[in-house]
Parts: sequence; C-alpha cells; structure tokens
Amino acid sequence: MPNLVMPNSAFSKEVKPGRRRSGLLKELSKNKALFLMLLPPFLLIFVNWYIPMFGAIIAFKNFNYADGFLRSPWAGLRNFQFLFQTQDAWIITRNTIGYNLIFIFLGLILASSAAIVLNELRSKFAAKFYQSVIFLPYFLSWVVAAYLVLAVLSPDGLYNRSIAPLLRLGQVDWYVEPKYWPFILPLVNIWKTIGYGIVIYLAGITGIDQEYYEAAVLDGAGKFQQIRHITIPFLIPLMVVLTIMALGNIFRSDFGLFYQVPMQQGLLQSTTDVLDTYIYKALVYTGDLGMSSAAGFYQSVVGFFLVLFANWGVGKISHENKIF
Amino acid sequence: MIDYSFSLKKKFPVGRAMIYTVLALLSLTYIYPLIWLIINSLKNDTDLFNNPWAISTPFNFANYATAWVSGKIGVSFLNSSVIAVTSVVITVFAASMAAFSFKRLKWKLSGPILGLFLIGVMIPIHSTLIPLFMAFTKIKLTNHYPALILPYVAFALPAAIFILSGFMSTFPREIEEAAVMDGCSMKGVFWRMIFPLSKSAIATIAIFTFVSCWNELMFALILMSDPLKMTLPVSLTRFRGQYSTNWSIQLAATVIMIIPSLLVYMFLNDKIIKSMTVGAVKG
Repeated sequence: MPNLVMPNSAFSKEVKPGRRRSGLLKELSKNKALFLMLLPPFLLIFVNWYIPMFGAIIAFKNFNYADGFLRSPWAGLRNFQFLFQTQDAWIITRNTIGYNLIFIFLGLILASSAAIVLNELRSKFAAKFYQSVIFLPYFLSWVVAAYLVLAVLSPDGLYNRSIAPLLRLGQVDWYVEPKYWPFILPLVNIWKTIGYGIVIYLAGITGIDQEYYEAAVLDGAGKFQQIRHITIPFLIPLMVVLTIMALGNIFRSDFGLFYQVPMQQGLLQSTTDVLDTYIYKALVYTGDLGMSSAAGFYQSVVGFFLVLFANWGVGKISHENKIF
Repeated sequence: MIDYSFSLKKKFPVGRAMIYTVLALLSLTYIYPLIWLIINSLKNDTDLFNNPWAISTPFNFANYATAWVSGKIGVSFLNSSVIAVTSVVITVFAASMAAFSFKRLKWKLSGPILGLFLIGVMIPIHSTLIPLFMAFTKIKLTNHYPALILPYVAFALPAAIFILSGFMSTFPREIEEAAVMDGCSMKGVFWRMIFPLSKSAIATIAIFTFVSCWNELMFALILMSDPLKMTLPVSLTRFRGQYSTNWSIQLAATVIMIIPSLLVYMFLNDKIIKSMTVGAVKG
C-alpha cells in the first residue's frame, strides 16, 4: 500500500513537499473527499475570523453609517489620539493588566497547593467530592455569580444585616466604594475559576511516577519532604507553561466578571473598568464607534504580540504545548 | 539527614483535622450559595426580606411561572437552547472532519492551513465583534439565530480542532487500512471508524462548547437585542432592571438558567475531569 507514513503527531512539520504543480492537482483529485471535508470548517473560520479582521480599518476611519464601511473618510490616527488623551486609556490598561497579574499569581499558588492537599487526602472519595464541588461554578454563568455576590454585599445583604452586626463592624455600601473592588473581584474570580486549575494540577500530580515516592519513603522521607522534593519540582514545568500561557492573555479579560459582578455601577468604574468592558460601553452606551474600535485595535495588536511571545516561550519549555 | 518522621506522626492527626475542617468550610462556600438560591427562589418577597436564611413553606412556585411566562425567560430558554445545541453540533462535525482531513492529507499547504485554523485561538474577539456587528446589521442578520451561531462555532473550532487532531494522531494507521481492505471508502472510514473512536474527545468538546455558548454574554448583548430573540444571560441582565424590586422572581429566573449547566455537570463531571486529565498528562 502506498504512502504509509505514520505521522508522529498531527502537528509534525514533516509535510511532504509537492514536487511539481501537477502534484497539487493530483493530490486534489485523489483526495477529493478529504478536501471537501475541509471546506466547511475552513469557510466558517475564514468568514468569522479573517474577513472581519479587515474591519479593523474602522479604527482609522471617521465612520458614519451613511457612507458605510469603505467610503467613510479616513481619520488617520485621530481615534487613537482621542483614546490615549483620556484618563480612561491608562485606567483600563492598568486594570486589565493588574487584575490579570493578581489572578495569575493567586491561581498559581492556590490551585497548585489545593491540588497537592487533595492528592494527599487518604479518602479518595473525599478528594473527588471536594474537587467536583470546587469545579462546579466554572460551569455557571457570571450572571449567577453576580447575584450571589449581590446577596452578600447589597445594602440589606448578608454582610450588612448579619456579619457586620455580629462582628460589630460598620455598615458598608460596597457598590459605591471603588476601593474595595480590587479585593472583591479577585476573590470572586478565584472562587469561580480555581476548580479548573486544580483539575489540571491534579492531573500533573497523577502523572508523577509512584516509584519516586516509594524510593523516598525507603529513604525515610516524610510527607512534607516528599511534597517539597518530588511533587513540587515535578509540577514546576506545568506551572511555568500555564503561567506563560496566561501572560499571553494578559490583555484580555473575562467580560462577564467585570460587566456583571460590579452590577455596572458607574461609581465603581475607576477600579472595575477593563479593556473589554470599555470597548462594549463605548459602542453601546455612548455609540462612539471610533473610540471603541480604536480600543479594540489596541487590544488586538498588543494581545497578538503577547500571544506570539507566549507561544514562543512555551515552545522553549515543552514543545507539545505549543499552539502552532 | 534529620528524621522528621517521628514528629510528623505525632502532629499528623491535628494537621489532618485542620485540613479537613478547612476543606469542609470551603466546600460550604460552594454548595450553600446554590442552596440559598433555590430556597429563596421559592419564597415570596416579604419572606425573602424578613427571613433570608430560613426555609419557609409553603413553596411559592408561582415565581417560576411568572419568570417563565411574563418575564419571557421561557422564550430566552428556547433561544439559548437552539443556539447552544446547533453550535455544538456544527462544531463537533466540522472539527472532526477538519481534524481527520489534516491527519490524512500530507500536501504542502497542510502546515500553513492548520496554522491558519489554530491561530484563531489567539485573536482577541473584539477585533471581530465590531466589524461582525456592522456586517450583520447590513445584511439584516442581527436578531436571527445564525448571528450568534456563526461566531460561536468559529470561536469553538480552533480549540476543538487542536484537541481532536491530537487525539486522532494516537490512532494506529492499521485500523484504517483494515477498513479500506474490507472495502470501506474514505467516507466510510471516517463515519464508521474515526468518528466513533473519537467519542471521548468529542464529548469534552461538546460539553465545553455547550457551556461557553450557554453562558456567553458580550456577543449576545450586541447581536441579539430583540427581547424575543435574547439568550438567557442577556435577558437575565435585563430582568434585573424590569423586576428590580421583585427579588424572588429574579432568583427563580436564575435557577432556571443554571439547571442545564447543573445537569450537564452532575451527569458528566466524571467524564469531564477524566478527559481533561488525559489531555494534561499527554502534554
């Protein structure tokens, strides 16, 4: 049977080069069915990802609906000038990067230590139970999380009606005080998303060869020494890869978290607005298409280079985790 | 080397008890809010305000009826279901066909084309949101199901193709050869062998795609503004304004929204965790 090359992986770079132009045509007619199968996903991605990218030129236009997309007059860099002259550009950039750094740091420390603790539990049933419970909110909408936060923090919520009197603390109107949100948002985000990280780290721990632990026990190592000298060193490459990937996404944020949880309270903007919510609000509330698309373009371009950098960094450590 | 084993053994029960206490308290912060949500969705508003921490009978199921009918949560539920299910089905078929083609085709453009597919993972979505919104407005597609299905499928495809290509690359070539020898066409190989064999990867993709479509907010807010076409997250956000004083009805609507996700999770969480584990260990 011809051409029985077993590819090592779907992503192996060993693509057999077509020697002549007729090679391509022959390939096409020989594998008609395969090319036909490739067509629908190709069209879907092309129409929804690549064609809209040309729309990025709106950021350089003085768009009006009468002239439409192509005929609206050029604005050069004016949209960007307006954007970066405002205080907003600095605030949303700071918030986006700042919150992401906090999320990455907390997620790294808490998810890996929770995974280590769960792995050490003697009862496998208990370990599975806690893991499943903590993973649950990952599958729920931010709208739900926002209601739960509201139930605790609203003027007659759990805090003001029960916790504050009990601990003799003063009443707090959480939804008008921006200073509390840099603590609230990371807490809520960790609560909702940590389960995913725990599953990944637990998988990493399961992959460690038991022989290392057996040898360590023979040498008289206690539990803490095993964790310190075997589990953690083995998890470090995984931690590095996940952190680099997260750094690549540091210019994106979870729209649901920042839009829903602060309940769109105007007074909280200075500590809850991020790039994604800003782009949405500029488009929908103020209808400022120039500003909105300039901010979108800014996010996409910086984000693109960050992901390229992250992919390169991940490739240095573990080739399988590279995206392309 | 210092021997810790003696002191450890002595301390261990205390440490273990502490760990179990912390874990129990922690899991309470996960389970209790959901119970609270359900209990309070069954109260009337006076009970909810006077006594938010107790169970009060009789249960007031009228909240659910009000939310479903006059709150139009029923309509949104239908919209969300149609959009999420269609997106999942298209994603699964398109991604498995693409992954299979990439596995079999070894021509000079497969590298660049696979790259073109996977690079989609990297593009922040807003670069496409505004142009898509304008294009869809122009061809009058906004407020129709495809306006959300098309972008949802396009977001899900790159990761789905990535997962499936990795999964299919572990199949030995021999099984396909055997099928071809038995007279199976290329189509037959795909439908009768590769597709069924990829079940567990397909299940993972289906679950994660469903959950992300069901909960997606930003595109849904912008592309579906007609109250009769809104998806659940959007209409729940709107609901907050419409029933701002009527808390128990808002909670009932929230419970309706989380039921499908809860069901998916309850029945499939073993599979989800297992498939994530396999993926992570492999690389």
